[in-house]
Amino acid sequence: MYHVRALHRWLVTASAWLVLGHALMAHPGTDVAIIDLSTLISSSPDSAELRLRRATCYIEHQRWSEAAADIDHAARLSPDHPDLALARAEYFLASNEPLESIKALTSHLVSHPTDPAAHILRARARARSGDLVGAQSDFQLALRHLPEPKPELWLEANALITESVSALADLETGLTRLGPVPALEERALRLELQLGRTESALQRLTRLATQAERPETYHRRRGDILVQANRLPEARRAYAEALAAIDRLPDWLRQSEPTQQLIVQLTPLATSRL
Amino acid sequence: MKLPSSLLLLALIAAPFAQAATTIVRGPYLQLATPTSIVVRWRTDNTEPSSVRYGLAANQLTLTAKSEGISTDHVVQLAKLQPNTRYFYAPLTGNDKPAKPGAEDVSPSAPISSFITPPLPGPAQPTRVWVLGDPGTKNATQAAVRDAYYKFNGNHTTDLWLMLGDNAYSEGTDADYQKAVFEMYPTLLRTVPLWPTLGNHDGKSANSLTQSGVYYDIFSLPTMGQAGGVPSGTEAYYSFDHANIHFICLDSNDSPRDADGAMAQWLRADLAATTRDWIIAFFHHPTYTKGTHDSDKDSDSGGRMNDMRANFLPILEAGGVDLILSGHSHDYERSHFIDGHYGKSQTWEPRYIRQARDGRPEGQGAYTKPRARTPHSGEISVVTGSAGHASSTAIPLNHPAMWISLNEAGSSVIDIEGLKLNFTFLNETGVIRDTFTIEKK
Repeated sequence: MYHVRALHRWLVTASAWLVLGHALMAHPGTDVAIIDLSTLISSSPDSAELRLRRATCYIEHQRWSEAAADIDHAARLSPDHPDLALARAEYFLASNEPLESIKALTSHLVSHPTDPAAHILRARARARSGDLVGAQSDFQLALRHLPEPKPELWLEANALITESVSALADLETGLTRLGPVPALEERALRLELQLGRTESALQRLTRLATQAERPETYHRRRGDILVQANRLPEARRAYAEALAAIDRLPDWLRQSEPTQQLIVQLTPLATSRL
Repeated sequence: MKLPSSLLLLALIAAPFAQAATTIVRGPYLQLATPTSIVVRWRTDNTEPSSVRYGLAANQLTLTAKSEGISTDHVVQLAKLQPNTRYFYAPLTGNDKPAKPGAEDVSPSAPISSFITPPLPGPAQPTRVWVLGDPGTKNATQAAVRDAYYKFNGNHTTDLWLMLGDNAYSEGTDADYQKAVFEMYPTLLRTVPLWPTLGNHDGKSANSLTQSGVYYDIFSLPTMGQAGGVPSGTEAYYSFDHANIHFICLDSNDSPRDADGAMAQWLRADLAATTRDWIIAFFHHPTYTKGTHDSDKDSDSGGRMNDMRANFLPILEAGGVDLILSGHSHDYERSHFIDGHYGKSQTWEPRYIRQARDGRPEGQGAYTKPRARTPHSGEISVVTGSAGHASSTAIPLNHPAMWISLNEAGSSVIDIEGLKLNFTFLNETGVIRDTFTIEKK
C-alpha cells in the first residue's frame, strides 16, 4: 500500500513538474510564472521551495501580503530551508523595512558567515537604513568572498565611499582585480579630475590608448584635459597623436562617418595656436 | 583452486584502495577559443589530475598541458597554438598509466578529437556559425533540429556555435545541462567552441551578480578581452573576434540593464574599439517579438525586452551593428532591414525600414551596407528561439518590424565570406524556410 501511495505521490509531482515545465517553457514571464507556480503549488502544497520562488515573484510585483504569506508558509513547512532567510530579507528590503531585513540577515550570517549574497543584501539594507559604514563593511566582505566580483557590484560598493581619495584607491583595487573595465576606468577618471589630479588622469588615458585597438578617442580626451589645464603645446601633440592613430586605421574605417567627423574636429586643434 | 589464505587476506585489504577505471562522463568540450589558445573541459567520475595531450597529428600528441590540483571537473588551457590550425587532443585520465613510474609520456585512452584554432582577427576568412535559441528541451524536437543541421552542414566546417539562452530546461541545473547540452551535442562540443548567453531558465540556477551557479560553473568565458574586444570584467557579458567578425554577448536576464550601467558603458567602449568588418550581437530577450512572448507587454519577462530595446538597441545601432540574435520566443521572427525603432509596436512606422526588400539576391536583392562603419545604417534582428520546440498553440506573429514570422522549430546558420553575410533558417525537417543576405561595399 505504501508503495502505491508513494508511486501516486511521485506521479502527481512528476506530472505537476511536467505541466510547469511546459508552461514555463512557453511563458516564462514573471506574471505568468506566478500563475504557473500557483498551479504547481496546488499539486505540491508541501513544497517550501515553490512557495519561496513564488514569493520572489510576488516581491518583484510588489504584492507584499501575498509574498509574506508564501514566506510564512514556507517557514512552517521547512523552518531550516537555506533560502528562507534570504527570501525574508529580500521581502523586507523591497517593502522598505530595511531594519527587519538586517535582522533576518544577521541571524542567517551567524551560520553562513561567508555567504556573499547575504552580505550584499545586508549591505543594501544597511545603506537604505543610513548605516553607510556597516554597508561598506558588508560589501567589502562580499567582494572578499567572491572569487570574481562583478563590475556592477564593485561600483555599487564604491558609490558608498563618500571621500574621493578613498573611493579612487578602492577603484584602483577593483581595476587590479577585474582588469581595465570601462565603467571603473571612467569613474576613476572622473574622480581624478575632480581631485585635480591631472597627471594621473593623463597617465590613465595614455595607458588606455596603449591598450586600445582604436586609441584616437583617448588621445582626444587627453588633449581636452590638457587644454583645460592650459598646457596648449602638449594638447596639440595629443590631438596630433589622435590624428596619427586615425591615419593608421584601414581605409574603410577611416572613411566612416564618425571618424571623418573626428578628423574635421581634430585637424584645427592639432595645428592651430589654441 | 584454493587460494592461500594470506593472499586472500591481502586481496581483501587492497581492494578498497584499488583505483577504479575512470570514465569521462561529460565532454570534452571546447571553450574560450582564441587564435593561440583554447580551453578544454571535461568531467570524470573520479577525482584526478587534469591534463591533455595534444599535437598536430592524431598519432603525434607530443605536447601536454596541465592544470593544478585534482578534480572531477577539469579545465585545461592549451596555449601557444598556431592560428587557423587543426590540433588533435585527448584528455588523460587515470586509466592512462605512464610507461615507467614517473614518466610523462603516456598515450591517452580517451578518444582523440580535433579542433581548428580561430584565424587571426582582422583578415576575412569564410566562417560558418550555428545558432541555437532555447534549445534545451531534451526532447525529440531538439534532436531533430540538431540532426537537420548536421545533415545540412555535411562535411562543411562549423567554426563556432552560439547558444542564445535557455540552453537547458527547465531549471538550468547541472542535470539539465547534462541531458540538454552534453548528451545532445557531444560531437560538436568536442570539436567546435561553443559561446553561450544566459537565458531566464539558465538563470534559475545561476546568479550573475555573484557569477555563481551552474551556468557560470560550466562555461569558461572571456572577462579580460582574451578573445578580442574590450575587457568586461565579467563572464555575464563579453565579446570575441573571429576573423573579420566581432561577436558581442549581452546578459539580458540578470545584469542591470540601465542605459548608463556597467554593461552599457562596456558595450559603448567595445563597439568603439572594434575594427572588424561585421558586428553580431546576441542575447536572450528579443527587442521585438509577437511570439510566445510579447515585447509590447511591460510585465512580460519583467520588462527585460523593453530594456533591451530602449537602452541597448540605440547603442548597438549607433555602433554599427549588423545582426542581432535573440531567442526567448519559441518561434522564428526576422525583421526588415531596420533602424531607429525603440518603442512598442504601436509606434512602428514604415520609415524605420531602411531597405524595403526581402534581402534575397535571387529575389528583390540583398541588403547592402557601406563597409565604412556608419551609425544607424540598418540591421536585421532575428528571433530564433525554436531550437528546442515551437509553440504548441497559435501565436500572433504579427510584429510590424518583422519581414517574416514562423511558428516552426529550427535553428539558424550564418555564413560569412568576406563582405557578404548569408543567413539561413533551417527547420526541424531540414527545409530552408528563410534566407537573407547582407553585403558590404
